[in-house]
Amino acid sequence: MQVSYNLLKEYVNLQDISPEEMVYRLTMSGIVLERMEKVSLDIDRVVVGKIKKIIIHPEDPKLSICEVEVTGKSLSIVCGAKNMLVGDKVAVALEGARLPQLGIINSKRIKNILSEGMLCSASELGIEPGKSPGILILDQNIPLSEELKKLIGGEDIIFDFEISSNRPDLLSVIGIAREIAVIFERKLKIPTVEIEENPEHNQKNIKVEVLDEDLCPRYTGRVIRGITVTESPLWLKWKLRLLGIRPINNIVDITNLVMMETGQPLHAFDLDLIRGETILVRRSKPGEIVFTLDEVERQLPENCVVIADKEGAIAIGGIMGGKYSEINEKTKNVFLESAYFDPINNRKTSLKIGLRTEASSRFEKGIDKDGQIFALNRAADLINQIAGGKINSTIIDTNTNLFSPIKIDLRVKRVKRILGQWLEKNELTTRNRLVSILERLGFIVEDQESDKLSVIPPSFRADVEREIDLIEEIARIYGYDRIQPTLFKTTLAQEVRDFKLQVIDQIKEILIGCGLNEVITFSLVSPDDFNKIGIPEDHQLRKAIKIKNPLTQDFSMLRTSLISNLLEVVKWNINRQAGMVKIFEVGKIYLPLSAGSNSLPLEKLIIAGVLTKLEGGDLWSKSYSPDLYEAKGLIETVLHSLKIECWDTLSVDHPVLQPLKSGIIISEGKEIGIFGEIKAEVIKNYRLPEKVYFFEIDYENLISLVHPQINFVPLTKYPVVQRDLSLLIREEIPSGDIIKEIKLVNTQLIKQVILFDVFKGKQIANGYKSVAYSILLQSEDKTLTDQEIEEIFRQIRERLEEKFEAKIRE
Amino acid sequence: MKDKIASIKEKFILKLKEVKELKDLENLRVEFLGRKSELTQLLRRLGTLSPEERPETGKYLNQVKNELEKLLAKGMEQWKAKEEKKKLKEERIDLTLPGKIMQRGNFHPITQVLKKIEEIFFSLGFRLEEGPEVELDYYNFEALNIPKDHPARDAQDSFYIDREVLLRTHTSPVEIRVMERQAPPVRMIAIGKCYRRDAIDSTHTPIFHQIEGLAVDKDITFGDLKGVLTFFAQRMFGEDRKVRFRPGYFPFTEPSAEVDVSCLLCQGKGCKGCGYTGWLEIMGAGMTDPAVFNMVGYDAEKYSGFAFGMGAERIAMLKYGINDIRLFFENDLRFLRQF
Repeated sequence: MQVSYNLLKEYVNLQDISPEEMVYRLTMSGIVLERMEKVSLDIDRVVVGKIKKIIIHPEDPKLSICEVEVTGKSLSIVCGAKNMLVGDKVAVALEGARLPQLGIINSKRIKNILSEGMLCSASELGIEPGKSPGILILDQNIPLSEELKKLIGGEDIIFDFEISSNRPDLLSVIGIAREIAVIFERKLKIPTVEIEENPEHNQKNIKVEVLDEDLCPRYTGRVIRGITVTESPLWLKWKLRLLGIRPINNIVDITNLVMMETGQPLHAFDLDLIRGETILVRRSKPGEIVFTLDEVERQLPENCVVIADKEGAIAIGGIMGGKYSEINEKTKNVFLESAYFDPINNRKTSLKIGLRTEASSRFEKGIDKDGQIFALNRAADLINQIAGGKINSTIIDTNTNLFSPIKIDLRVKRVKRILGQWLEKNELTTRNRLVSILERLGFIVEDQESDKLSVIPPSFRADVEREIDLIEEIARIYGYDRIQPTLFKTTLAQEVRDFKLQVIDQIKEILIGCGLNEVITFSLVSPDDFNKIGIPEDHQLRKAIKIKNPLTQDFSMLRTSLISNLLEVVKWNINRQAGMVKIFEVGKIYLPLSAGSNSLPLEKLIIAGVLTKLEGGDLWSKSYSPDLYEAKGLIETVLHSLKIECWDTLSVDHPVLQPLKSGIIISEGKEIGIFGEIKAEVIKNYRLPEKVYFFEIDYENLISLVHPQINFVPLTKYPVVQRDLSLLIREEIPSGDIIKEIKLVNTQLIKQVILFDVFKGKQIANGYKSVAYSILLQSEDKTLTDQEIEEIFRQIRERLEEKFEAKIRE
Repeated sequence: MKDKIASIKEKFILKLKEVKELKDLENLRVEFLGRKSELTQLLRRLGTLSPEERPETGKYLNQVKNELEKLLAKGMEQWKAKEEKKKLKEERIDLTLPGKIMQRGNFHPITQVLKKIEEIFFSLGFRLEEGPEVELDYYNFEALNIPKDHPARDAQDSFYIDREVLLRTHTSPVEIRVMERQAPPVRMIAIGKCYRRDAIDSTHTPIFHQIEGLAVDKDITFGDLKGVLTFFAQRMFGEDRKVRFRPGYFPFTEPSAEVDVSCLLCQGKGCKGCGYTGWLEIMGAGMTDPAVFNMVGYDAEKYSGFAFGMGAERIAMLKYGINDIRLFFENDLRFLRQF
């Protein structure tokens, strides 16, 4: 809401209140300033002149030479505009004058004729934005030779306030002034309207029929005859400039001024262009078309409200008038509309047709339910004063009882209960304070002596319906800064975080300790991401949840894996000279459940990471390079740290991972994690120079294996015996199977089997590999003898020879 | 014999003074105390002395032997220390060479801010709760007193999955879910991703993180709201921060407040960063609207509560002086490693 300091002064005494203090106090009562701008008419030596004579320029018929009377002299001024007549009063920039855009004006010859100054348009004077169609024609009663600057009132400050959607009453100068009056305890001055009414003659009568009262609960209007449509007077143009509204003509400008003043949008129709004698307010018919003032042909959907005459819709109610019945320079008789349109329907219509106006932004939030007649009369009065004409005595009003006051009980004690303190010393003085605040805000307070006040909100405060709303009003005006901060009076003992949530932090800590950086990426992805990571068309990972109304394709689906997000981060960093990227994310993937609506998808927490390094990319660790086993090892590190000790590794078929170079880790029948090398074609799609290794942990499955309780196992005092075993075995036999077999020989005494060497090469027969293990033996209750150890090793050799045809190397 | 012993001692003391390195000392030991040394030989010959001479000479001999051993040990010690020093000097350690760094990763700055915020509220007894990101319109809007066609929906333009399912625009639905399953008292926070249909620029991303809080009990007041959030703001931004509360509007709280802290850049004097107001807005808050209590079946006469919500990215930007929200999601390692 744009308003100016001088405009506000017309409604509330601002003496001794600086603009800064005003803005601060408004901020602290809930009205935030968005923008503040100093304005003044930046002109000098521009005075009022009168045109005595106009002749056509002898060398250019598009130009006129005007003889202008000013400061007791007669000046000859060349002018390109056509809208002036002999006798008009105009703004004359004298020799040496200053204009905001054009700078200093000097006499100069225009096509061989000396022009002794310039006739100015409103835009050249800085009164209206853009480019005015002609020069500014001033009121006849403005004294000749007067400095134009003095006529407007000089400097001013424009404030643009942010108004929250629950306070449509503040979308008006009076509304803001009322708030200031309340805060500073001053009187609000609302202009009185006294109009001279004229009885109806035998002229065209107009009737209004509201067919759909739910959409337009109140419609008022009146007729003004015999007006003259012209440009608005200077003061009106200047006021509109301060309010941020573009002037059109005197009639439209007045309706806009009154809307800004009162918050009640108005519309003026050319009475003679209304066909028939009845205005209908009704629902739009499907496909109905209105050619609106902004010269757009709009096809209306159903359930919009239109103003229609005999032939069809002439305006979209509460949004914009139609071109056909618009006020034009020939208009003599005006029908002025001041109505209340249903906010919800107005908002829906506005969204549907994609048109929001000053009027609709007020109707959609709910305007004053009893403000129609005041605004109607105020505008009629101003039209009468500025554009002449006679105001018809008949007022059309379809519903005088739209506003039905409500009574709200306010318990004085409840105010303390919610705010935590009395506003004043005690209950009695607090009550007096409440009454005073509410009354200044325009509420009527009954039963002022009891501890339960009965409060009636004014018609412009439809947002106040309940006791709590009153308490907010009181707190707001009293000042939040005067309420004492306190901490809870009672403690609440509870576990602040579930075990499961603690484990997430633990996992992050482990991976960070392993040298990985945590990243956070967008959970919305593009359909193209699935192509880039090479997911086949019918694959489950393609069954992503789609956004019905995406902003762009880039964020149109919920991700089903973190792979594409992580590869994008790798790409970003490699393109910025990172030599090594080791990252992980703990984030959700989203999987559709059943087809039925209202069922929410499965949100699965995933821990996933990628590792890559450019050759020689990291000078600090030249010889180091991440590999498949580091990816696997990260999963295993997490498992170890969480005290999960047993798992199997199987090979896995994954659409993004290289076959034979990808595995799955399973523990207690649950799939804990996947690791592997990203397929070469995927790497190519992301234009990455090196291999990328990937790992992923299923958080839900992992957490199901974590035991919150740790049980201590006593330390044995008997020594560990370490013996190595080297064997020659067929290449395809997985090491994991060998280890399992070894352990089965004696699960009690064999504590650990550690692979320490795998070798294939010249000395080894084709199709074979050499593997070597360290085997750790320990007993809980004695020192093992050489014979016992030899016996176990004999059994191991036997078992491996039998099972795998392994050859033991001595 | 006694003279002989005395001269051995003198000779030893002279030679000890001529020692040049540790090896010389070893030679001295062999020469004077070794098996073939004069002293050892004299010791063997003690038996040839007369019984009168024997005790006295033997005593003297032992005394000298002990003396020499002591001197030798002392010399050894001194020389060893000397040689050690020399060796160290010859090794030429360059202390300015880099140490062996165990390269650790980093928590994402958003995680760090969230952890810090969590900690502050944990210390006040708030419990961390969770809720879905893909949410029913009912929980995201209706139950929070934002019916369909409410103008407040404008400010939270949403991504829809279907008519009744959307990506949550704030973490507030978690409040509703917790209140639905639990009777008062409630003291909770919720943290997570939220989604709004905003185009990406330096202050907007379609995805961001929010922290939500709610306290409900028989005696919660607006004073408590101010006290708790002032406590939070000063722990988060510094004990010397001023905190102010001014009226705001949210459909699910009444009275509602916007919470500001004095600008971190200009200390409240007014600068470009704070729009020359001296204040930075950090969160929205308010007393839970009775309409919300009615939706979850709490008795609004008996219970009151307050709620608050803030954006993690905004808090992080203010705290670290970051000027572009996109940095959080680009994950440039040079950015991440700064935190």
